[in-house]
Amino acid sequence: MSKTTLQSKPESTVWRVIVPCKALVVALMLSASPAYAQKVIKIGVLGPLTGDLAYAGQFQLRGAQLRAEQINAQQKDIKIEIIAEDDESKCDRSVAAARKLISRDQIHALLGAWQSTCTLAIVPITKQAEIPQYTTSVATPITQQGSEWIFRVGLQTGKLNRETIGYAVKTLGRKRIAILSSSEEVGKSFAATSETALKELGLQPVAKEEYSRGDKDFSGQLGRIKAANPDALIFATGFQEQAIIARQVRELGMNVQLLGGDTILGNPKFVELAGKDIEGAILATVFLPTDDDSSIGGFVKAYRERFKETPDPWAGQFYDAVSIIYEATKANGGNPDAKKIGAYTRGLSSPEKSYPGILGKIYFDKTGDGSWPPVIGQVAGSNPPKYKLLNR
Amino acid sequence: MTLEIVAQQIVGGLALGFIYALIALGFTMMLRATELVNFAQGELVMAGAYIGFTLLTVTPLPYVAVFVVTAALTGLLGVVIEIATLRIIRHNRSPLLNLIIATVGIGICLRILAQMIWGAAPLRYPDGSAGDGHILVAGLPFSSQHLMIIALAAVAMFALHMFFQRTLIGTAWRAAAYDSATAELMGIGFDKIVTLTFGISSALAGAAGVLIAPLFLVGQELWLQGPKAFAAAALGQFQILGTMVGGPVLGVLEAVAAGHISSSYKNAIAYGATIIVLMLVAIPRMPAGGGMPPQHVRITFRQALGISPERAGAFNLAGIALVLVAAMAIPFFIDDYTANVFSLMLIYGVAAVGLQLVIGFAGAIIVGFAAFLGIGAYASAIASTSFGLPFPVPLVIAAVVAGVTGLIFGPMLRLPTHYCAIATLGFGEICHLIFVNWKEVTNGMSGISGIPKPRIFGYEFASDQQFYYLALGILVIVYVSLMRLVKSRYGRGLIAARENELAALAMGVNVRRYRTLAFAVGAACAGISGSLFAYFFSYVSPDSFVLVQSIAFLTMVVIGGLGSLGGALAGAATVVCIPEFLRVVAEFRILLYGLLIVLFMMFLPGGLADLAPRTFGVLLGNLRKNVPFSKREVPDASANG
Repeated sequence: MSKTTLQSKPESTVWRVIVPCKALVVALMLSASPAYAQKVIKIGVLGPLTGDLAYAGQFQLRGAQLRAEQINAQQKDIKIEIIAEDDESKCDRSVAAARKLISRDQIHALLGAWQSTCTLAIVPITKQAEIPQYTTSVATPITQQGSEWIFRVGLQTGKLNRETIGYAVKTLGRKRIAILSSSEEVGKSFAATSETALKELGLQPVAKEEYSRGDKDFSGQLGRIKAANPDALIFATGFQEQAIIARQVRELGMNVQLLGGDTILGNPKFVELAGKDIEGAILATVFLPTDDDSSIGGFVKAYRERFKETPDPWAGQFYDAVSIIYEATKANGGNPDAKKIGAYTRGLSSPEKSYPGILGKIYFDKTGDGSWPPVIGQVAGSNPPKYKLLNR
Repeated sequence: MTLEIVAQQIVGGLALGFIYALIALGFTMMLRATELVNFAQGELVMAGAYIGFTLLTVTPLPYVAVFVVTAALTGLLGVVIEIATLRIIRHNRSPLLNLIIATVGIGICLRILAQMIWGAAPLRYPDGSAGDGHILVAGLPFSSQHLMIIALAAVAMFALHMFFQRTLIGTAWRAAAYDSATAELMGIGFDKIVTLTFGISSALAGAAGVLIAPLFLVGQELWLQGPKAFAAAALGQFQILGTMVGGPVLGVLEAVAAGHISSSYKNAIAYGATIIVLMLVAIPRMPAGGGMPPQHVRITFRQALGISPERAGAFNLAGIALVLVAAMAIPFFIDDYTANVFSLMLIYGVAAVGLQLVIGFAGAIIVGFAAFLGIGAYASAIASTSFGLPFPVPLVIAAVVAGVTGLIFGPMLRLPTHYCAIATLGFGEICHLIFVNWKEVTNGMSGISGIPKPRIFGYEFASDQQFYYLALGILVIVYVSLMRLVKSRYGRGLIAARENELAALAMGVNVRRYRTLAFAVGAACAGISGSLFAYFFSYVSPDSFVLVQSIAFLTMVVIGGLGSLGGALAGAATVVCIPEFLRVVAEFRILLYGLLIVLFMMFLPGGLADLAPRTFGVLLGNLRKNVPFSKREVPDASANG
């Protein structure tokens, strides 16, 4: 019986009474699709679309939407349908929404969630249903759950901050580095991997502090960090939190090189929010919206035209995820199939066998972790947000 | 830690504290004039911050002018809200809780409207608008922003003080807050006083929003400052002057504690201090004789169908059997996802009937109820993962652990209604912080995953349909037990104490013990619900047991109808299903949900427990169309109820 959990039953009469319109649409789609002989890839996109973290979920969703619209405009054989679900940034909602997407909407692939904790909560569900799941979350444990259906279309926090710290130490010559992180899962793995990266270079953090998600005042932690006299500060995570930290660092008169601990610094909205205080900060990420880079220029331009804003790494990551799902379906003779999509993605396993997307040559290791080299960039301006690439 | 940093921390705490005081003054004024706890106060702070942002970026006004204009505009917003919604509810003679839940609905609407107007991403006030850099005082550098905040807040509070002391309207307000009946006789219209109160407290919230925005950025999460400030108001004993002191004290306490003890438990300090102060000073020595009787006429299904009272027992039995058969048949007609939603509805139903016992029968306002769900969920998750105990055992453990916790914290129910609300709210927040920070046991924000599916005698409840039956079975057991409980001698004692505490005492009802017991039973129900929740998602994280969830439970009980166990189930169904089945309309669903709550409170004071039979009765012709909603047709001058 347990195997049947996530398989569907036909649409029930009760449901049709409750939401007649939706049933009608489903019925129309079911009856119409054979007539056009058009194959539909259903992709569920899950993330916070309302609530405090809605900005992040919307970037992700728009990246996926843009790619789907482009593909749908290019050819007629395969249609990509994006089904967006809001988890209100609550993990129990993420679980419910993931189940809904899988059992009711019969999706072929799932993109999401956004928060590491919520992504972690869904991994067992996609594993059981054998649906490929693509995520932008950076916490290390996500790909260590023994599921072959989870793919991180990005790099885990450890790979990112090894690059950042390496750059700060080797190129900039900083030696006294302090770590400030949130106390949740992703912050924890960030702090631990930063310390490891420092150890590999023969260094110790001069100070290590934590804060709780939702904190607004960091003077306690920054006070203790300042007392340790650091010359660089690597910090993560949280949108508002990091913007306020950048401001308080300046207000306390700390003279440190800011190092971005996660990909949030690559988000133009974040840079706008943090303003002057974040200028000059250095980060490693998978994607930066720089106009001069020809490989991604087309994407940045198309995204700006469609959504009137500059894309961020999350948008780019889901853009490429949709591309991979499309390529997998084409390779399967145009038939959308969750298992074949998963197998195709697992097949992207080395630089030689990679998918050339806007993020670079995308490939995954055995656990589904993204493994290509990141870009290192610097926040070059805040109004409007500008980035400078340092390693390309 | 140098002197410089400590001094900066104290001034920072003071600045935040003055902001708390402004918001808290709104709570205090509202409570003194109308006994209403305005749960939308935090959202009005958020609205003020957003309005201030637009004024600063679109108009050339300087920060101080924006501060004044925003206060006026937010005040106006408050007046509109009061006249359009709350006044109608007051005139319906609805229970106080209905007003409180209406403000919850208003808050939900304000938050989602802010997202629709200003977008989801947080915003920043233009650089330097609220002062920048440092000012040297006694050789120490202080943030000019902090000093500016303290100055503006102090001016606002002084203006409020002069308004109360020196103006005719201010004096009239004080008269009405002191004794609204006499004031009404003197020609001071109570409606006008309430509108004025709402206007001023909204203006204070708006002003606080403009002050807090440069520190915290502008975002929806600013609403969380509301509950925090409520704690400050409670610290100040809900006295105007006390609140003005309580805010800064709380701010400094937090800043110093965060800097020197632990930032993880910062909020626990605020709420912990509040609970201790309340327990020490606010418990009435003598029973006040109050209570919270539902003031509307409730129609039961039996009356609606025209069945005589002699056959009530048989009718109730038949009714339950009918509902049960229908509930058993449902899974044959629905898909997995719908079964999933319905299961969640049944799980929350278990907690909702428990909360109904505490609110509807014991007459206490409990806000942090989700904490008991969390305690049950964690107890159950740990019992089944770390200790590998088989299914029914963790469920029983969850019920016992949550019930005992309820017993221990039972004395909170001795506090008068709104003190009880803030004490239990604080309790809920502290529990949430423990779930987040006690990592050795709860695994922090990552939560506990891999909870096995429940299994009895080798039969596994794995699919959504199977789980539905499990939840249904447990809900029936809990429901029938509670139904028998409220019909017993004990239950009648509880109802008597709710209707007239003094009379119940005179008849020998040990009110205190009865209420504590009700709290323990309600908490045990939440524990069972939490355990089912853990099994259902096979995952537990602190996110699920937050203030928003507690408020959702409160909403279930009130929408369902106070004092009706069946109503609580209907309320649970409404609260779970509406946002879920409205997913089609995306972000509008949250707006609709908030609006529905407000409309419900405005036009259906008896809740679903009253609406459903009433509709039936009128349709079948067994009921006159105009059976009054209200028990008392004579206006109650204080309009407290």
